[in-house]
This record gives sequence, C-alpha cells and structure tokens, in this order.
Amino acid sequence: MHKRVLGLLATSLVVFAACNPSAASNAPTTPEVTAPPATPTPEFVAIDQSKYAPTAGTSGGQILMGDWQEANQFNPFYASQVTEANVASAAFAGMVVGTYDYQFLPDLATTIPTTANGGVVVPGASGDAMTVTWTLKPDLKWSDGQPLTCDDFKFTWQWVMDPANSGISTSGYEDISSIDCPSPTSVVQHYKNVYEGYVLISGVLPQHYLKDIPMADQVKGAGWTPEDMPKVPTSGAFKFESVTSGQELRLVRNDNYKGFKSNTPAYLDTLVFKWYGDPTAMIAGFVAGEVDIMTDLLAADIPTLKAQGLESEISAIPSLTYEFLRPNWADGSKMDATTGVGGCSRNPAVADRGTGCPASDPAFRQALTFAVNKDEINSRVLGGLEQVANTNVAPDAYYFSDQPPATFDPEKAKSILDAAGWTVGADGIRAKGGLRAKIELCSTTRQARIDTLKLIVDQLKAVGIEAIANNVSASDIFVEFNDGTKDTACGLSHSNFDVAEHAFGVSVDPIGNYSTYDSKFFEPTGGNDAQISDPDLDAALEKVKGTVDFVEVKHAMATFQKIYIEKVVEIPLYFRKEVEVVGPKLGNFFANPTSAGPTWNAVDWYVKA
Amino acid sequence: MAKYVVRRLIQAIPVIIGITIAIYAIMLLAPGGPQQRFANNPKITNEQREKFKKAWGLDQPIPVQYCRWIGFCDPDQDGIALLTVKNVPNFLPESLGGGDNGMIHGDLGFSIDSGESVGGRIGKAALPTLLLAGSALILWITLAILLGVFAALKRYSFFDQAATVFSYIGFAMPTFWLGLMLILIFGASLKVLPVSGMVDARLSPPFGSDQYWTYFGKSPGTAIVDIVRHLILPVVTLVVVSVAGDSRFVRASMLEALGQDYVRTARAKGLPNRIVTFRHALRNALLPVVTNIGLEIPFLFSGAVVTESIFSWPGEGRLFINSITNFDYTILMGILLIAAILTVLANLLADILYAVVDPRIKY
Repeated sequence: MHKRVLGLLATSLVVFAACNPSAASNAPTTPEVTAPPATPTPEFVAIDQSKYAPTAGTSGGQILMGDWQEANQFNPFYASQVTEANVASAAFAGMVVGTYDYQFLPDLATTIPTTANGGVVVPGASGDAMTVTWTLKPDLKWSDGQPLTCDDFKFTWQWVMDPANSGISTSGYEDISSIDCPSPTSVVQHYKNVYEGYVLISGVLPQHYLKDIPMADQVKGAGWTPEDMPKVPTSGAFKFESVTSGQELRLVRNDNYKGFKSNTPAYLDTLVFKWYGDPTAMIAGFVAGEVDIMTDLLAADIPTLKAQGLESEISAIPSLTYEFLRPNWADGSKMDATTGVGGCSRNPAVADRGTGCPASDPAFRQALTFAVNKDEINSRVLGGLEQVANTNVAPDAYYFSDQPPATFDPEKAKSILDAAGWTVGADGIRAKGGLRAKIELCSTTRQARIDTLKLIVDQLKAVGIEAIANNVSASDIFVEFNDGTKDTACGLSHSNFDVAEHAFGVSVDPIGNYSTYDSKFFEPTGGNDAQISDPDLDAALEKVKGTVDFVEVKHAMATFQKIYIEKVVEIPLYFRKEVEVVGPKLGNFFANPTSAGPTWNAVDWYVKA
Repeated sequence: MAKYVVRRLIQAIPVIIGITIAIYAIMLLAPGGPQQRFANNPKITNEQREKFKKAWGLDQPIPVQYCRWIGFCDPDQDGIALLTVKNVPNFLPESLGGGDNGMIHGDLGFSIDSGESVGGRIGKAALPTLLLAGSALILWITLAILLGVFAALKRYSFFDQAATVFSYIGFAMPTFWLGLMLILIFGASLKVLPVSGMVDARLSPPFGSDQYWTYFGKSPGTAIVDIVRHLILPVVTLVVVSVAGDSRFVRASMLEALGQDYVRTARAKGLPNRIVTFRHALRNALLPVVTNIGLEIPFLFSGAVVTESIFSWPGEGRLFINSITNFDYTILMGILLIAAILTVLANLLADILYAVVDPRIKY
C-alpha cells in the first residue's frame, strides 16, 4: 500500500504513435516510374499527449472524500501511504502532472523538456552527462503569496540530498551535480549521470518556509505537524485549512494556483478528507450520504459495494500494484555464512530435500511458471475480480511489450522437468542428483495469500513438486537487512526462501526495475533479493538507465520483458484493482492508476448542479 | 487513611517502573519497528533506513533507548549518560540543571508519524474518549445495577430469565459485529443516525478545533444535538456488550446479600420491603461492585479500541489502532504507559472507596 513521494508526480509514459516503417513498401508501383526509395517513418514515443479533456465546471461548494486510512505525513517527500499521496496530489504541484492515461502534462512548467525540443541535452554543457532545462510559468506563487521560483527547486534538490535528511528516496536527485537559476523562471539541472526518469524530478518545497527549520527537526516532523499545516505554503490547487487528527483534513482553494488544463484556480471551495476507521463503516457512511467519494478500496470490496446498490458508482481499474511469485535464483554456492545472502530456504521443514536449491535450476523455474494456474487463483481465491498479469509492466505503459504469455500447461511443466533430469520418485515427487523437488512457499498472513499458497501447493504437486506453505508476519518476510538474521523466517533480504508471494507497487517509470533486477543490487546494497543474475537482463536495464531516448527505452524494456518471461524472473499473478466509488455530485473525476492517485486533477473537480 | 494513601503511592513507584520496563520489552518483542514503514518500498535504501533509525535514536543499545525514554539519560550524549553536560543528574528538573527529556520530565517524545508531541496528541484524544466512555460507563453501570437488582428480586421470573438471556447474548456478541450491524441498519438502511465521527463534517468544523468552539459558542443547541446523535450508536454498542457481565455480577451479589441474616432481621423488625432492599441489601451488595467500577475507570482513558475504530470516533482507542498500523511506537508507548498508571491509581481509588462505603474496613 505504500506509495512513495515521487509518486506525487510519477506516472507512466505511453506510446502515442508507433508507425510501421515498412508500410511504404506496400504502395503500388508502375514499370514506367521508378518509385522513390521508401523512407521508414521514424518510430516516435510521446510523453505529453494526454487525451485529458475536463468539462467546464461551476465554482463553489465542497466535496467530502472518505478514506479508511488516515494521512499523517504531509510533507509530500515523506508521504508513504496511498491516502497521504492523495492529499499531496491535491495540495502540491510539480513541474509536471501525471495524467490518467499514462502521459505527462506541464503543470508549473511551460513545457516538458525533451531531446526533441532541446530541453534535454546529452551530453550536456560543461562536462555534464546531461543537462535539463525547465522553464516555469510566469508569476508563479505559493499559496501564501510568496513567489515560487527556480530557487525553490534548487532548495528542494539540496533538501533531498541533505546528509541529515532520512527515510527518503534520493533516486534521480543523487544524479544531479548542481542546479543553476539563470532567471527566476529558468531551472537548469546538471546531471552527472544520464537519468532516464528526469521528468519525475519535478517536486518543489517552499524554501522561504523551510530554510529556518533545522533538518534534524524536520525529519522528526517539525514544520509539518497538524498544527503547522495551515501555515505551510502549497504549490497546488488547494491549501490546508485544518488538520484534525482522527477526524478530517480540510483543504480550501489556493487562488494562487492555476490548473494545468483550465488555467484557472480550483472550482471547489473546500475539499474535505474524512477518515474512517474501517472500510465497511466507510461504505455505510457513503450510502448514508456522509461523503461524496470514497477511495482506497480493493476488488474484494466490490461484492459489498454491489450489495449496497452502488454498482453504477464503482470505478475499478487495474492499478500498478501486482501480486507475484518470486523464485529465488540463488544456488547456495556463494552463500554468506553470516547473513545467509546467496542461499535459499533454511526452513527445517525442507531440510530433508538434500543439499541445494531447486529454484536455482532454470528448468525448475520454467516448470513452475507452467504449473501455476493463475486463472484458477483469480476465480477461486479472488472471485474473478482481478486482472491476470503476464509481466510486471502495466499493459498501458508505453514500454509494454506484448510477449507470448506463459499460460497454464501442466504437461509442459512435466516435460520440462523430465528433460532437465527431475525424475519422478515412488511417492510422485521428483528428484535430481539427490535433491528432492521440495520447496518452501513464503508469504504473509493475508487470507488471500494463505488461500493462494494452498492452491499452488496442490498445483505443484500435480507436476511432482512438493511445496510447504509458510505464511509469516510481514515484518519477518520483509525484514530490513540490518534488523534480520539469516534465520528470520522467510526473510527475503537474507535469502531465506525458495519462492515468495508478495506484491510490488511498480514505478511508472521503467527505471524502477533497475535496482530490483540488476545483479549489482544484491543485499545489503540493493533490493535484488531474488538474486537474479542474467547478463542480458543487466544489459537491457543498463540501457534503460543510460538513455533519455524513449524509443531506445521502449526497445530495451521489450528485451527485459522477453527475458522476464522466458527465464522466469518472476511469475506475475495479477494486477490489483484500484477501486473508488464516486457519487453523482462530483464532476470531472478521472481515475488515475498511477501513484498520482485519484486527486491528480482535483483542480478540475466541481459540484454538479 | 492518609498514611495508607501515602504508603500505597510509594508502593506504586516500583510497580510503575516495572510497568515501563514491561512496556518497553513488549515493544521490543513486537516484530518490526518504526522502520518497518519502509518495508515495501525498495526506493528507500538501507542507508536511508539506517539514517532514519539514527535520527530517532533507534540505533542505540536498548538500555540507552530505555534510559532516555524514562528520562534518566541525556539524549544529546552517547551511551548511558546519567549526568547532563553540567554534571547534574539528568533526572532532576530542568530548573535545577537536569534534563528535559523522558517520562520523568513529562516528555513522552514525538509521534514518529506526524511529528506531534505524544502528550499533546494523546491529550487531544482524551476528551472524545471521556465523552464516549463516560456516557457508556454511566449508562451501563446504571442499567447493570437496575437489571441485576430486579433480576435478583424477581429470581427465576420471566424478567430474570429474559435478563439472563440478554446477558449471555450481549456477553457473547463481538463488539465489531454489533457495531457494524448497527451501522448498516441505522446508518445505511434506515439513514436515521450518523455512522461515523463526532460531528457532521458537512455542517460543523471538526470537533476540538478552534473553529469548532467558535461554532459551538454560536449554536450550542445544534452542536450538542449533533454530538448526541453521533454518540448513540457507539454508546449502544458499548452498553450492550458491557452491561451483560456487570448485571450478572450485581445479581449474584444481591442474591447473596438478600440471603444474609441482617436482611432477615430487618424484615423481622417489620421494615418496609423497599427499605430492606435498597438500604440494607443493596448497599452491601454494591461493595464488590465498587471494586469492579474502580477497575473500569481506566477505560475512561484507554477507550474502547474496537468501538472507536468502527465508529471512527477520534479517541484514544482509535489513536491506538492507528498507531499500530503506522508503526508509531512513541504514541503506542505513551498510551500504554498512561493507561497502566491510571490502572494503578484506579486500584488505589477503589480501595479507598471501599473503605468509605464499608465502615468495617480500616486501613
């Protein structure tokens, strides 16, 4: 459920047009006339071509938005929950806004810099690996009337990189060597490394408000407590009127901000976030008319919503959070005896399998992918409400590549295992070289995961693999490296698993894959807990990281997805649904699957007559 | 009596110290820690997590962390620094050159989640809890005494049987289920009562804010009616599940009293039944009930965790649940500590009250 800050601005990029270069060769020709040589139309990827078209609204009124999780962190860079990202999207603007259709629109900036329009220069001037120049809209102001200038963006970069800051993602910011402000409206970012996700480095904090608060105090919330919020300057559609813990958060229109599409301030006078203690109570509250929109619901809530007669008001779209099986690639030969990194499950329940790690065998992993019946999991455990996934890339992302799916085929799984030397024993379980095909399946104690693992145990048994389901607390499976030991049950960071089921909220930008799958990022320096090591995969990810040519990114990501499926980097199960319920009173609601969230266009929301 | 009270207060000190150690140990034994908030976020590197732990002093050895929380150690110095930089014991008041941190100085730290002072945050949640728990407590004790007394007087009657059935149902009913049922029936279906919060967010500023008290001053009648309407469902939930046990307790105690010689003597003297029942039997029957009520007083602070969460009531119980969800250990420890101290004091109060209502008891 955690979405991180950059999330405020982050969305995905989309392929806007991809022309067929061979189309011209199909044109009819005549013997008398020599046809001009066919010129392939260059492939083109656009990131600023959103179809977003809000209707004109009327000013005034208030909308109440229900959520069953309470926002407590109001600094958008520290926001860690969906609800906090929703508040941040309504109150804080950046250079760009991520749209519902995976595009970007300039928000505080006049245009989005690209290599095509000269805003991005690679290599950059004066020895930069890359120089990005943003131009701000004229006369921008914070909600308190102070000018919003390049100095604020420079301060924000320094603030993120302050050594005393903590618990924050520095991704991308650490690639910047300096920021120049040749004028109040010109922001020149000098990068020491090419950073593909530069569009996401667009958030801004108010220098005039924060400069006098020591960072050591800010990391403990100084300047951003509920009492402070009414005086915190905001850059977005709304500003804070009051934050009342346990009850509500009240935003009022910021007349100093003009909408990225309408170029006018927000229509609504007030936007109230009302906090419930329980999703069921929130649904009842919506039915009773207490709120106009409710968010943060799951597909599992849809039957309840329908039972309450809310079917026509449900908005359910696939989110960027996907559930998956994560096979541990490590074979144990390079295991660190102290930390356990590089090993596999050390659960005594699988100790009788012999020495080795079954999932480290590529054939074994391939068999897993054909043995798991995702449709059965979706229908039997999830009521058919989720969208079965093929890769970890959202189908609407511009870098999505439609690879042949690895569909359920137990006979194929058996033949792969047979060919790889996994022979069936007397008890129906396979073995190879003295290693029994016995694995530990790890996950958390969520009921859906308990049920899913039970199904998978049966599905694997049908192909001759014995699996032991082990549902442990989230604090064990996701234990931080320095807090865990090699014996922490199912501890991913200490490689104490064979196959784990959990979820990732993927970054809308492909660079998010880099630190999760590249072989440079084994613990304790990175998040490649599955010990994935594949030179081709690394090369594709390095390519993604090292270019701002979105066509190249798209091709590299196609390679990544091909390898992802063929070599079973993961076994994606389904994309979770993002569910909101929107009452008839609210105009211009556009569900946004990215971490910009449902309030991304709150500036255009209005109360219908 | 005064000596007894002083003696009990002194005895309470090691108990409270023991409680603080227990609370700290429980929090340490709980899986995870405040840094668990980053568990699902691969963008937060181990380096950033370590910096977070350092910023909050979580990188220090456990005895140091505990010593700082209690207020015996100076947090600005390394290790177990019992003396301040002025070479004065840190536990002494700041005015004497001591420290200003820790429980002993009334400083419970800051919320890891919102940055508010723990004392301030807990203080804000106290009034809503007092309102809800106080209303429920008064109502359920009154009802429990009435039901218990009449069930005892009409032993094995239809009323007694009905009260018994009601008690068992109420006792067995899960709070969360009853609360949700009431919400669905009276909120979602009948739409006659609000289902969440303390005030109507469409009409009223949030309860407790400066704007609210201005609004309250202008329209006190409307504001009070609004709060009372919001109180009905959570109070009913608490009363239904709580009255059952206490009414059985009163019934049993009353039956025992009615069978005593002094009651028979009173009747033999020809006293009216009303006098015998309420002056002789009931007063004695309530003696154990007083102890029970005393032990329920901390509930006025700690609130009803489940009920407050279901009805989105902004009290201590909901704060406690939210703090668990958000890994806000400082708030959790603050609530646990205050609730534990109140329990110790409530026990003392119950003992004193016992002596007041029973002249035979001498301390």
